[in-house]
Amino acid sequence: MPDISTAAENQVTLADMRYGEKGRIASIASQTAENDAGLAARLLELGIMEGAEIEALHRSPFGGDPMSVKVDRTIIALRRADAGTIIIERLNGN
Amino acid sequence: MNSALRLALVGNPNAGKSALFNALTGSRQKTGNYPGTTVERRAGRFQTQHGLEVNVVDLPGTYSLSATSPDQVVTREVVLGQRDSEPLPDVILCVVDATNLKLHLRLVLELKQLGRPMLIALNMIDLATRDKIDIDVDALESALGIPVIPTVAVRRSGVKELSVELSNHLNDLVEEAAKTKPLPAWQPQDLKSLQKEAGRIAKVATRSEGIEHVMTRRLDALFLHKIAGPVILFAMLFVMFQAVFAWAETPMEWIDMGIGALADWLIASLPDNALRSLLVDGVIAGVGSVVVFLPQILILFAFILALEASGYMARGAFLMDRIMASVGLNGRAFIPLLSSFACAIPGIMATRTIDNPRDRLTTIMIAPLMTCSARIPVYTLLIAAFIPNRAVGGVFNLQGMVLFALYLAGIVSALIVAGVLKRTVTKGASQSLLMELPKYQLPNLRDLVLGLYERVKIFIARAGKFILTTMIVLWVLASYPAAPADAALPDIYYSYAGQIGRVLEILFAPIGFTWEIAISLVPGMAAREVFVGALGTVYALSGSEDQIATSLVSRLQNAWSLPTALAVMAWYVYAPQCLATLAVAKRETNSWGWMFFMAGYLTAIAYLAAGITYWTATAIIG
Repeated sequence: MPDISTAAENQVTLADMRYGEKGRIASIASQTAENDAGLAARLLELGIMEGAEIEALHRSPFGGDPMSVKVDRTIIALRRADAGTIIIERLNGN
Repeated sequence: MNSALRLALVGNPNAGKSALFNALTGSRQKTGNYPGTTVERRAGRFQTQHGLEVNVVDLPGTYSLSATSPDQVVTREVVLGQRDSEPLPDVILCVVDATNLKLHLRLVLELKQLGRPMLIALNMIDLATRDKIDIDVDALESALGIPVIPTVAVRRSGVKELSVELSNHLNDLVEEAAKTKPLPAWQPQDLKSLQKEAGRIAKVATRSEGIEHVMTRRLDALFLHKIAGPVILFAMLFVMFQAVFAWAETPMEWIDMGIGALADWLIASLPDNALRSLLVDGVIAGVGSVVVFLPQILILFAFILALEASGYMARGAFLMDRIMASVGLNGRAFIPLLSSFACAIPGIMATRTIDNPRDRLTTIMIAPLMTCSARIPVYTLLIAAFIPNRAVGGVFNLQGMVLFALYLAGIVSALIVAGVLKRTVTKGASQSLLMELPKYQLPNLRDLVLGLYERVKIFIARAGKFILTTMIVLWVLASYPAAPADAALPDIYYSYAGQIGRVLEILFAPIGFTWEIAISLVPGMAAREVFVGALGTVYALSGSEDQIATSLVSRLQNAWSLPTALAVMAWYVYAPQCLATLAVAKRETNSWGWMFFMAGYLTAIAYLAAGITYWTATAIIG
C-alpha cells in the first residue's frame, strides 16, 4: 500500500477514475454550486466518507454520466458532478 | 388496541425487510397510509410458537434516522413514538443484510441509542455463505449486546427458525418493554463516528471477508455495458409492452363478455326504467370500463415488481438518468413514468420513491402524458377509420406508424413539459442521482404475488370508487331531461350533457370538432375510452363496444373530415380526460391547486395541439 500522507500527486477525483481503479477517500469537498445542499449527508448515508475504500466501476453509455462505484460491499450510482467533489487516494498505482 | 405485542421492522433499503415481513405475516397483512401523508403503511399479524399475538409494522427502509425524505421521517417518528396514530413499538426488529454488515450495522447502532428492546435479524445469511462470508454470530451478539437471529427471509425454513427464536426472545422482551422508560429527546447522531464503530464491530464479527458477489459483477458488466446495456433495456421494455398488449387481449375479452352478460341479464330481468338504466349504463358500464384494464395492469405490475425485486430496475434508472437529467429530473423518475404507460394512477402513486418534492411534483405533472392503455380504444377506432392500411417503404405499416407517432408525441411532450416546469413553477435545485444499485437476486414468487395483490387492490379501490361516483353523475347528466316525443336527434342531444356539449361546441368549433364530438367529450371525462361508447350513443348505435366500433368506422368516415379526425387524435395525446387521474393527483400532491394546474395546462396544450393539427391539415388538404 502506498504512503498516503505524501502521495499528493497520486490524488484524483472520483470522477476521473477508470473502471476497476481502487482508492481510498481522502476528502469530500464541501458542496459546490452544482450540487444540491446536503450532498455530503446523503453520501454519508450510503457509507461514502473519508477513509472508505472505493472502486470505480461502470459509466453510463450516454456521455459517461452517471457512474457506478463500489464502497465496501455497496454499489452506488452517482453523477460525475458529485463524484468530482470526492478526492481519492489511489491504491493500485496510476 | 389489544394486548398484542407491537413489533416494528426497521432496516436499510434492500435489506430484505419486506420479504421477511411477508414471510412472517403471509396474507395476514394490510396496506394503508399514515394519516396526513402519502407514505404507505404495511402492517400485519402473526402468532409465535408460545401463542403470543404479534402486530408487525413494516417501516419504510432507511439508511439513517436523520434521513429527510417523507417516508424515512415516518420511520424515525414511529420508532421514537412521535406519531399520534402509531403507538410506540414494544420491540424493534432491525433487519440487517449479512452480505453488507458494515453499512447496515450503523443503523443498528443508531437504533441502539434509543434504549428500546431490540432484536437483529441477520438476513440473507445464505447469500453470505455463498459469497464465503463467515460471520461469528456470537461475537456479533456480544459486541452489540443485542440478540442476533440468522435468517433467510425468502425461504420458509429460514423463517420458521426466526419464528421460534423470536418467540423465545419476545417473551423476555415483553417484560422488558413494560419496564422501559420513556424515550429521551432524540438528537441526530454523528454518522461518521457511528460508521467507524460499525466498521470495527463488523471486523470483529467477521471471520472471513469472503469474495465479492460475482453474479452482480458479471451481470453489471452486461446490463451496464456501453452497447449491450441500452439494447437490453429497450428489448426488455419492448417485451414488456408486447406482453401488456398481447397477453392481456384474451382475458380482457373475457372480462368484456362477462360485463356484457351481466348487463344483458339485468336488462332481461329488470323492467325498463330509470333504475335499470342507472345500473346498466351507469354502474356496470362505468366500473366495467376500469375492470377491463385489470389484465394489462396485472401484467405490467408483474413485470415492474419482478424487475424491482431482481435489482434490475435500479440499473434501468442508471441508464435513463442522462435523458432525465436533460429535463432536470433524475433516473428515479423512470419507474413511475414507465408505469404510466399502463395507467397514470399507479404511475403517480409510484412517484413516492422520489425524495425531492419538486422532482416528484414534476413527475406527477407529466405522468398523464405517457400514453395510457385507456387511449388505445380511441386511437384504434380513429386510425381504423381514417388512416389507410398500407405499407410504407416496404417494411412499415402506415397505421402502425401513426400509432407509434402518437406514443412518441406523448413522450417528447412529457420531456419538454418537464423541462419547462423545472425552469418555472417547480424551479429549484433538482436532486442529482445518488442511489444504491442493489445486488441481483432471483425474485421470490410469494413476494411477487403478495405485492401484485396489494397494488391491484389499491388500484381497484381508488379508481373503482371514483369512477363509480362520476359515472352515476354523468349518467344523470346524459339521461335527463328526457328527449321530446318527436325528437329528431339522439336522446343525448336534449340532455344536460347535450346542452353542455352544445356550449362546448362553440369553443371547439375553431379546432374542427363537431357537436357530436363535443357532446361525447362530456361523458368521456370519466375515462378516455368512454368516448368511444359515447360516440356510439350520439350516432344512435347500439350493441357491444366492438360492434359499435365496427359500425362507427364507416359512420365516422362519412361524418368527419380527415383534419377533424387528426385533431381529435392530437387532442387525446394531451387532454386530461380521466377524472380518476386528477383525483389521484389531488391526493398525492395534497393540493387542489396542483390538480387544477394539471387539468388546465393539459387542456390548453390539447386545444392548441388539436387546433394546430386541424389548421395545418386543412391548409394542406384544402
